[in-house]
Amino acid sequence: MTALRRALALVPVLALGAQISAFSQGLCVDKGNGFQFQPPKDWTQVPIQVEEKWIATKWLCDRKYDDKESGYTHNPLMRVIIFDKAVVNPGGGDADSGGGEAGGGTVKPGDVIDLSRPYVDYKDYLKRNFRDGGFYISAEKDIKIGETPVKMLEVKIEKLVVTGKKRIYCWIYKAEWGDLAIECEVLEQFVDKLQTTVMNSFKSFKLIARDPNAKKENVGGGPKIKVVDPNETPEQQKKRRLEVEEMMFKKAIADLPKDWTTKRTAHFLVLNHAGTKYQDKVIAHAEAVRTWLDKEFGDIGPGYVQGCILRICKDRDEERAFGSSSGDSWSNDSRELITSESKDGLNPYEFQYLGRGVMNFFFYDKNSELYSALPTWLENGLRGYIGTAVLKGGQLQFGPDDSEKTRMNDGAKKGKFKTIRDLLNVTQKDMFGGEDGQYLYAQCASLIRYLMGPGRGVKKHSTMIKDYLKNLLAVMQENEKAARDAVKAAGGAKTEEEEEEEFKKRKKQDWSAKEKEFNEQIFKAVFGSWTDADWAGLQSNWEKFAK
Amino acid sequence: MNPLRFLLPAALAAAFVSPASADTLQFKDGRFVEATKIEAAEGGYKIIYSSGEIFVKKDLVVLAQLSDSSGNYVPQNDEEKAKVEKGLVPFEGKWVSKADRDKTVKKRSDDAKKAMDEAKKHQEWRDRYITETAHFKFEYTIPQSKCKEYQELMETYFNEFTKKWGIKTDAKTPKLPVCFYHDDELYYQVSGAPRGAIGYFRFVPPLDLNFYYDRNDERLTLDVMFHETNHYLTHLLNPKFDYPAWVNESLAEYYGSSTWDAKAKKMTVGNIQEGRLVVLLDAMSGDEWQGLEEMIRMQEFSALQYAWGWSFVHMLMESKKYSAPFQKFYVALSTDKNVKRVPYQGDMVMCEPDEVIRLLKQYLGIKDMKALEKEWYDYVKTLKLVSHRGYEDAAGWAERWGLRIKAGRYYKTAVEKGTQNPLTYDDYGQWLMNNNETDEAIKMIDKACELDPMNPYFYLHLGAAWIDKGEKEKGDKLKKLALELDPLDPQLAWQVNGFKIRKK
Repeated sequence: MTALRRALALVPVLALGAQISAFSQGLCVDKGNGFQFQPPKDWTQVPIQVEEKWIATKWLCDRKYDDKESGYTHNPLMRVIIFDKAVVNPGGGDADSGGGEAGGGTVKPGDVIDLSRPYVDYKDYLKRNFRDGGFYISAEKDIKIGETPVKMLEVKIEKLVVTGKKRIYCWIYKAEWGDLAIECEVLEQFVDKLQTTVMNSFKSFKLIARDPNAKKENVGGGPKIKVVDPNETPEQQKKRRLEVEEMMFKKAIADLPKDWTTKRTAHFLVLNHAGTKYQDKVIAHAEAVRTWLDKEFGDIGPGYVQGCILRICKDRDEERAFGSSSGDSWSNDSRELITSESKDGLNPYEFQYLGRGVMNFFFYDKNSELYSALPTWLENGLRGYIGTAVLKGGQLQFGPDDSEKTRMNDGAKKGKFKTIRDLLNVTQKDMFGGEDGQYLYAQCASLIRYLMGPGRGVKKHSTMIKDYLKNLLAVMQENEKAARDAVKAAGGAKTEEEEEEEFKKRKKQDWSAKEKEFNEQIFKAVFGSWTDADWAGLQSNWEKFAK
Repeated sequence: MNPLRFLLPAALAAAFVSPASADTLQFKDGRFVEATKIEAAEGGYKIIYSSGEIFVKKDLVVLAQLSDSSGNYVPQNDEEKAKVEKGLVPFEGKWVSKADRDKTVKKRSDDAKKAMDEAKKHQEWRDRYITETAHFKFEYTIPQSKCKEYQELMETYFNEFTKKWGIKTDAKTPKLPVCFYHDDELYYQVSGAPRGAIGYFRFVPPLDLNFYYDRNDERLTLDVMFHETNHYLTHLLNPKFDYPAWVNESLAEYYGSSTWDAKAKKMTVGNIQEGRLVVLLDAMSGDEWQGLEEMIRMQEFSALQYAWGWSFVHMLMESKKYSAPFQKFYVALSTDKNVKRVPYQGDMVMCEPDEVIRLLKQYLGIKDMKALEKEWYDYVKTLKLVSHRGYEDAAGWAERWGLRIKAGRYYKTAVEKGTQNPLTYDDYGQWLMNNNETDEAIKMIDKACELDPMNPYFYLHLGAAWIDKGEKEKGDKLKKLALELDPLDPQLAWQVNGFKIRKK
């Protein structure tokens, strides 16, 4: 007997009012979206993402279930998803309006062109959002609970499922203003065991009057074009980013379940569900990296570095459940790093991820053009250098981790390294296209360690990174101008032959072909005056350091 | 069988019933169209929308369910008047009683509805058709008549391939489940394939093969079926052996271009994979040549390597000198006891690239891989685009690279060579519009609409063309018709109304 059948058998004989009163404690009530239900006992509420527009609440089962087929574990997850007609019908306009106001062809700074495609209903949501294996609706049934029409669905997930076959139960309540879907995903192997728990929660679901004052703000996730003034001053940019920061922070706090804590630090909004000790460690590390970045690279651009959310989940299961969202819950305005406390020691890279994340946002906000143009050796070197930093006694220590040490040793033995001179000209393809990527990555990090460490005591090497960044920007601007001129000049071909010629020239402008040339230009600008002896000196110093 | 269906017959039936006023067509490719009013017209059907009518040719339609249009007949002369007074009505060239006519019309309507309901039901994966043939178990949502063609084809392919390559199967070999979906949307949903993987053969239990019917390009459907089935047939040589990508994918591509004569029930192999050839032409124009040894040593294959790999295997299979030894090499890789194999994943084994190269040299009787590479390059230079599909791909490629004049020539050639791909006509129509050839553009987009009358973007583009021609009212109406066909597509709305701005 399927769970749906059992549930159907029960519905007519149960008075829903009686169920609600029986679950009067721990009820999940959402006045903004107009529903309430009783989540299963020992399931924990998981926050929703700041840009989330569809999922109203998520509850994660505290217990893990082992899938015997795949060897993976799985925690059932229950969600309520809202399909408000005013949102489903794009822009809330008529069906043929396409949504929003007619633009009339002119845009101005501050305008946002929304390119999102709202989910029409739960089935559409599944089709466009579900990515954890092939699925199909295995059963469906329309019923009424009280006066409310309800569609009951069973979804089977059978093909190419990494974590073992699964099933989704979903009941869709039809309100006048739209649909409210409560769904729960369970491993197929545990359907019999879990169905009563799941169905009891579903049956407790009830529509209540919506309170417009309780409606959460929509911070606009999904694809969109934001029109920004090309002549925006750093002050204007800062003001704009501060507004976004404020909006994101406010929404993140509003969405937090009750047992999460919040804390503002100099550069972060910290949302914590882990132990206080772990939280303090995360904050200290993130702040130390950020302070170090300000000191070392604060002058690479005028951009205001937007405040960032540090979200610390209690474990990886909660982190995964938090990340499981509707497809358009993302935004280029987002500055959020998510980590979780590992009690089993299985996620040793959390602080690497944290350091690199802080670095990415910092470089991007300070000078996005420069950041996007960082050459392979410098970008990967910095990632390795900052990623492996460890905070000890309030100070960041930039020693290599065990993995880098192993690669350096093996790389030296196998002769996998390039000369420093060649390394500075290496392209992305050169580095990762062959079999030696891991060694070259370690070499880049090691070179940065030298330049940021003992190399500072050598005049020629002490300003190498700074000089490189300065020249990188100049070369990039020069190239951009050349590319613009080329675009202006192009398009005048009258014959296929002329067109072919233009094509060949353009192909050379393509980044993959251009990267080497670009590296050489910067190389010439920075190291044009270096002699063979200078290179030999750098090579020798680095080799001694790297031993 | 799902037990729920026994419990809930009424509810399920209700779910399949269209609104009382809706007329319905099912296309041969499996799509359904419902509209408030669809009328039979000469050579097809007219679908009536508030912004205009869409004509659908009869040969695109497999089922039609139209509402009853009976009305009182107005007699044209005394003889007819007398018959009407007797209670007779004209019906399909005869005078019959009104009751008989109504009974016949009702029966036809009921039968059409039943057939339509049945067809719609089978588009749900839970209610898919399941049919077994000699070697396959087909699970499918496309119309049965279409699937039957593929069943015959795949059985022929199975028999020809196993005979040619010496593959032994017996009655114990389980029938391979073949999941054949009526469109890409359902395919991606049910098969779980990542976007861009247009078919797959699952080589570990439970084995199955998945692909979909592409209504705009059936040739692509055939390519994918031949390709993926080839993986299965190769798998039968030794199910525990993981063939290197360069030869496994490339042989599958070689067979992918096979053609099928349904009447003669004959397969022809070794045709040019023109989509791959376009990629090669692009690479060669940039003087980017794929090294042979480098390719053999690759673990993963991208679209570029598929193209190079196909051309290499094509050369070997089509060469008198290499064809037989290459086939022996291919079989030996997985079956020859003297070949050195190493563990792969689980209980599977593979060959290291050095061993593959050694074996290839041994079987082909060559000493210098560079010489073979040169032979291959020379061969690739001789390959030419031939069919409309090649020119379609080439036109798309040229447009992507800004080779506008070349793209126009390629589109024109594809049309001259008789393409039936509506997207090609639409693309060419837009190209012509940009080239200020509005009248010709309208002809092309009209043809796109004729081939696929339900694509809203064609009406959008047609509307734009009429506006260009100076007929704004007609153009606007066509654009509105586009929105009626898909009112929930924001990209379409965006293009119809100009962009939409959500004020700050």
